[in-house]
Amino acid sequence: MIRVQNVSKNYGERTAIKDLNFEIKLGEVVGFLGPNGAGKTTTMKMLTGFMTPSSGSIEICGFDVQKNPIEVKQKLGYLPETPPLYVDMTVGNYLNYVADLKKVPKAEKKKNITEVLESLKLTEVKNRLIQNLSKGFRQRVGIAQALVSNPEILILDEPTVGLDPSQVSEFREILKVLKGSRTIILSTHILQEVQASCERVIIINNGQIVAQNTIEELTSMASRSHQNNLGASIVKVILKVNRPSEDFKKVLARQNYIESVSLANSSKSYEIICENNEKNFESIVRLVLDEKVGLQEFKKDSILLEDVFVELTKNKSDVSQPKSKVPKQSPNATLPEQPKENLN
Amino acid sequence: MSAIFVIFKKEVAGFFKSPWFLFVYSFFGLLLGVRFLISLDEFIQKSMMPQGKPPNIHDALFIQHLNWVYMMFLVLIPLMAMRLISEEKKERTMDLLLTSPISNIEIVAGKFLAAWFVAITMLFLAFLFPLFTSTVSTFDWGPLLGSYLGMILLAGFNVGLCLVASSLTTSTVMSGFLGFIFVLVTMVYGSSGIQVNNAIVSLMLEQMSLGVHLHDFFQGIVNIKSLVFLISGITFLGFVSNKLIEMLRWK
Repeated sequence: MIRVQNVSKNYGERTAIKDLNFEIKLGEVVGFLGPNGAGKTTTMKMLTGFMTPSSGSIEICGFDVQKNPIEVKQKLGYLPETPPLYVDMTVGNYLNYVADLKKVPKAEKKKNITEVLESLKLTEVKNRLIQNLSKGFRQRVGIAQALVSNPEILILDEPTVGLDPSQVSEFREILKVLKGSRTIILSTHILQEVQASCERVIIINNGQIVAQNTIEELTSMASRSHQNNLGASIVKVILKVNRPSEDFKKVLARQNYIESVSLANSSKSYEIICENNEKNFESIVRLVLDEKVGLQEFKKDSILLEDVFVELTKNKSDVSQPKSKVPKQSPNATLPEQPKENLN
Repeated sequence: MSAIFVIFKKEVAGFFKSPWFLFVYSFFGLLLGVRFLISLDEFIQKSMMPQGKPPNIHDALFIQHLNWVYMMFLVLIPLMAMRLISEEKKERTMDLLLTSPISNIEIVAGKFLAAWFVAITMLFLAFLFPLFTSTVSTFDWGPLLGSYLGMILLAGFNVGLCLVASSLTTSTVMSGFLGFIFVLVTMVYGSSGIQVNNAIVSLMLEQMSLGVHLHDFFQGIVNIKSLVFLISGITFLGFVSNKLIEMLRWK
C-alpha cells in the first residue's frame, strides 16, 4: 500500500533522512515516533509529495509519488504540523474550498462536509471566521480539511500539539472512529499518543529507523530487557518518604531482594530496582514502617515502553557525521538488550 | 470544476471581501472621477480657444485619463498581487495547495487570472468615463479600444512581474516592494529605453521595451508583434513563478 524504499533527503550539506525503508499495509494505524528534529515531518512531507526526496522512491497505492503526484494526492488527506487555514474564511467556506481543491465530486461534497463537521463537532462554528476560533477548534478544522475528501490514507503530523488534555482525549476518540476504514499515519513525539492510538510503531531517530514493531511486541521486548541475571522480571519502584536519609538507603541496599537503590533528595524519593513480586513490595513497606521514616507514596513505575524509546533515541550521533560513527540498524531491528545498569 | 477556476474564484472573492481592498478600490474610482473632470475641463477650455487647431479628444482627454490609470497601477498592482504566493508560504497554506491533486501551473494560473481580472475590472471602471462621454460627443472608437486592450495586456504583464516577486519571498511587505521595483524598472526602461551604438542591439532593446508596444496600442494600432510580445512576456513570467513554486519542493 505504502512502500518507502531507500529514501534519503539532504538539506544542503545536512542529511535529514538516510536510507528510509518501510511498508504500511491497507487499514493499518502506524505511529511515527521520534524526538523533535528526528526527521518525522520531513518524512511526512515526502510521503505527501510536498517535498521531493533526494534519492529513493515512495509508492502509494501502486503509484509513484514523483511520477504520478496527482493520483497519489487524490488518495491522501494531510494535516501538517501547522494546520493550513485561511483565517479570513468561515469554517464552511474553507471546507468547501478544500473539497473543490481535492476534486471531490459535487454529489458527495455537501454530504462529506456535513459528515466531517458533525464528527468533529464543528457544526456550531460553521459560519464563524477561522481567525475567531480557539486553538483547539482550529486544530479540529485542520483535521476536518484532511478528512473532507474522504481519503484512503490519512497523514497526521503532530495532531495533538497545542490541544488541552480534554481535546487530546477527544481527538483519540475521533481517531478510534476513523480507524479500520483508513490507513492512518500519525507522527508524534508523544509516546502515550502512539500507545493509545496505533497498532504499529516506527521509531525514527536522526533520520534513520531505529525500530519498527507492533506495540505489543515492543512492550514485551521491553519487559524482556527488564530481567535480572536469573531471568526474573524486575521493576522500578518509587518510594517517597517524609524523612529520607542515607542510613535508610543503606538499610534498603542491604536487602538481598533489592538490586539497587538511588535517592533523589529533591523529591525525597528512592528509586528501587527489585524483582517484580508482591512479597518484595510488602517487605519494603514493612521496612519503611519499622524505620519510621514516614511513608508518603509507594508506586510501581510502569515506564517500560518509555525506557525503550529513550534508549533507542539517545546518544545517537548525527547522521550528517561520517558513516563509520553511525551504527547502521536494520529496519526491522529488534530492540537492543537493555543493560541493567541503565535502570539505576 | 477546474482547479484554476477554484483558485480564481477564491482569490477574487478574497479581494472583494477585504474591507481594505474595497477602500482602495473606491478611492481609485473616486480619484479617476475627479481627474477626469479636471481633464475634461482643461479639454473644453483648449477647445474654446479661438486660435490654433482644436485638440484631439483621444490624445487630450482619453490618453491623459489612461496615463493616470497607468500611474496608479504602478502602486495598485504590487499592492494587489503581493500576497498571492508569499502569504500562502507564510501562513503555511501552501502545504494545502501543494498536497492537493492539482498542478503548480494551475495554482499560478488561478492566482494570476484572479489578480488580472481585478485589474481588468478597474480598467472597466476607467472605461466608463469615455463610454459616458460618447453620449455627448462622437469620436473614433478604434484608438480608444486599442488603448484599453494595451492597458489590459500591460496590467497582465505587471501582475506577472508581481507574481514572480511574490513567489520569491515569504514576506508580504518585501513582496510588495519587490513587485513595485520590478514594475517601476520595466516602466522606466519602457519609456526611456537604452541607447546603444550597435544598430541590431539597439533595435532589440527597443522592441523589448514595453513603451514602444504600448505606444502603438495607444495610437489604436494593434500589431501582431506587440500582441505576441506581451502575451509571451506574460507566459514567461507565469513560467518563472511556476518554477519558483516548484523549487519549494526541493528545499
